[in-house]
Amino acid sequence: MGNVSDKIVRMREIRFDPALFENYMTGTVLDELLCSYKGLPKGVNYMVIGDPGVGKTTIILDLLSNIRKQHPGVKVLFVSVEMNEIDLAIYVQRFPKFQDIDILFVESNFDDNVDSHNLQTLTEILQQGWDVVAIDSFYELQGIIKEEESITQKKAESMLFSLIKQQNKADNNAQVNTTFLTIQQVTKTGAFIGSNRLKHSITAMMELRLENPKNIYSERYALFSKHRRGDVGVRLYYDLSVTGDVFYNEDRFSQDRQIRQLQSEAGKSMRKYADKFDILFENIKIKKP
Amino acid sequence: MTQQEFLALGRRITDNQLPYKMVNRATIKYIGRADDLSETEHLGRNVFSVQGTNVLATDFVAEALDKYTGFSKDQQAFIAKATGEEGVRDFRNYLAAASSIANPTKVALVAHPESKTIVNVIPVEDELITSESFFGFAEIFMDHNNLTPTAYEVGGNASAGIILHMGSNTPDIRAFAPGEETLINSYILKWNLGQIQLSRYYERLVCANGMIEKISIPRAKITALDDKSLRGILSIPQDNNLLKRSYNRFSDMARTAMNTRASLSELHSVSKMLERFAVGEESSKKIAPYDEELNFYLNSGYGLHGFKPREALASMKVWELFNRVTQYASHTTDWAENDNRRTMLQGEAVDFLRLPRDIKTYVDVFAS
Repeated sequence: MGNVSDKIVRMREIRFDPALFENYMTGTVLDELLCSYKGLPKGVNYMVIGDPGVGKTTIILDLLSNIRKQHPGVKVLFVSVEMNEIDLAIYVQRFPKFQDIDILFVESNFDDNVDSHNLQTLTEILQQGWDVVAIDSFYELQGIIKEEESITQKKAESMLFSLIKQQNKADNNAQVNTTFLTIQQVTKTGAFIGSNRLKHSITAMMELRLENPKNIYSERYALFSKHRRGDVGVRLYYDLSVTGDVFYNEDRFSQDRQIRQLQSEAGKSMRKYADKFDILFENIKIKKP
Repeated sequence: MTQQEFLALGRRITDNQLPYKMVNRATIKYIGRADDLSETEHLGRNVFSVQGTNVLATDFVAEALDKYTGFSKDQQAFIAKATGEEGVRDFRNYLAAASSIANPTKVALVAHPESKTIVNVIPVEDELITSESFFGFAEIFMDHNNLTPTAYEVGGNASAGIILHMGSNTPDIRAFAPGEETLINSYILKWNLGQIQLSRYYERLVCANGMIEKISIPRAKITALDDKSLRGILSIPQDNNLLKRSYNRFSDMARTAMNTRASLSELHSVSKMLERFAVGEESSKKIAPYDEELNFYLNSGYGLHGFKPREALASMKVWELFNRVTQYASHTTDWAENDNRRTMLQGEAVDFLRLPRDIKTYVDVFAS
């Protein structure tokens, strides 16, 4: 048994490559939402949730394409568990830029006589070292691993998450700190599916929502409900009806951010005047009638 | 007004802001009248307990608090006669507590730091909106609607009441009648501690008379800085349909006023309006010569009995009467340049224009 004191470290003693803190840019206003110092950070786990049909896959594929365009040397991988080649062909028709993204299709094997192990395949591929990997979706992948390895749902989640953590810390052939974007399904009421452990382990959770959840044609926005690298609650409205690129409403985003700032300052300012008021009457002596 | 001047104004107002605090009406209890105010020179002698701390308040504040609970002077006199000052105090506190249960009210108490007295009380519907928040909001509003600050006005009491005028960087000029070219896409934001209100400001180019039209939709007034309220009010200048409707309504009112003679009764109501704004007698008589024109009727044999001022024509059209008021509000040297009565009077003048006319316009084939 090793010395437990060895487990204690000081941040000043840990050396990081400065390049680790140079983010991947998408070249869109989404960069401002992804991180307070802009762009998608390296070695992090961002979870993406949202109502069905809100555009989770499109947003992620668009993000990956944009990163490739901004950083031609960067390796991005899309792990498609929910959709096959034919499903994705429809996306490519509307967004031709998606056709050059590296994709790994993971499919359930319905033949009991064939022994398939997608976890092993995924592990070997990730071991090559990818800069950004998107998984669509975590829940489906977890289910396949559970079936194939004959393990519990919880164990499958642990194995998958341990693989992700390993890649975050650059434990791969290319020694790159892989960033993961994992799409996670939600319940009918829009709640996150997954354990609390998973929720607490991620760096940020991006939610894609409809302004009116009952109307699929209502406006859509992205916002972070958990964010260790940026602002929570700021909405970025987007539109998928334009062919070629996701349209992000930059003006509205800047307005939303200003509103947040105003609300935060308002609380401080209110307390300041109330304190002044209290101090004013603290020592006053009034002879009661 | 430059952007720098606007920022300087914000700093100045915020620096000179009197301290204030929002409390529930139920936490304010009347103690009585202070007889000895020690060495400090206070502005009021009404002692209240606010959340357990004794404070002094002016008569204005005491009366305003009574008004919120519906405790009239007559009732006070009656109770004082029957049970003395103690009875008045107890009944006042009873009413305040009872009305707070039925209708919880929040108020902002504004204190004067030198005299250590509460000098103003402002009802707060939802949240307190500080001057800092107002200027922050105004900046966002202008930024998103391509507006620049043009002028400002402040109330007599700097603790509450700022009116900010903003002009569009892409002016929209329309004419609702020949020679009536008017700049229609300017706005004003009116702030007090309890709310921010947005109105449209029309300026007639020929005479630079200002006209304030309140935008009559709930989104034009906010009582809290929540997302929904802020987004709603920020988007109003981009709502072309709403603005078109409101402009068309205003044009209709203006055209009716141009074609309609004012009644003596309307002259009277305008002279009363001027009185409320403490406009001098001489100016008031020039704008709305009610007494003079009434005498003209009386001297012409119209008796007092059966004489209906609503049915008697005044010497001028409604539009002229309206313009005289807006001309005074925009140009008078009786008031300081930044006196907020200018905008308030312009607003009331438009309210007057909005009223149904006493004398309707008829087609008259016999009129020469």
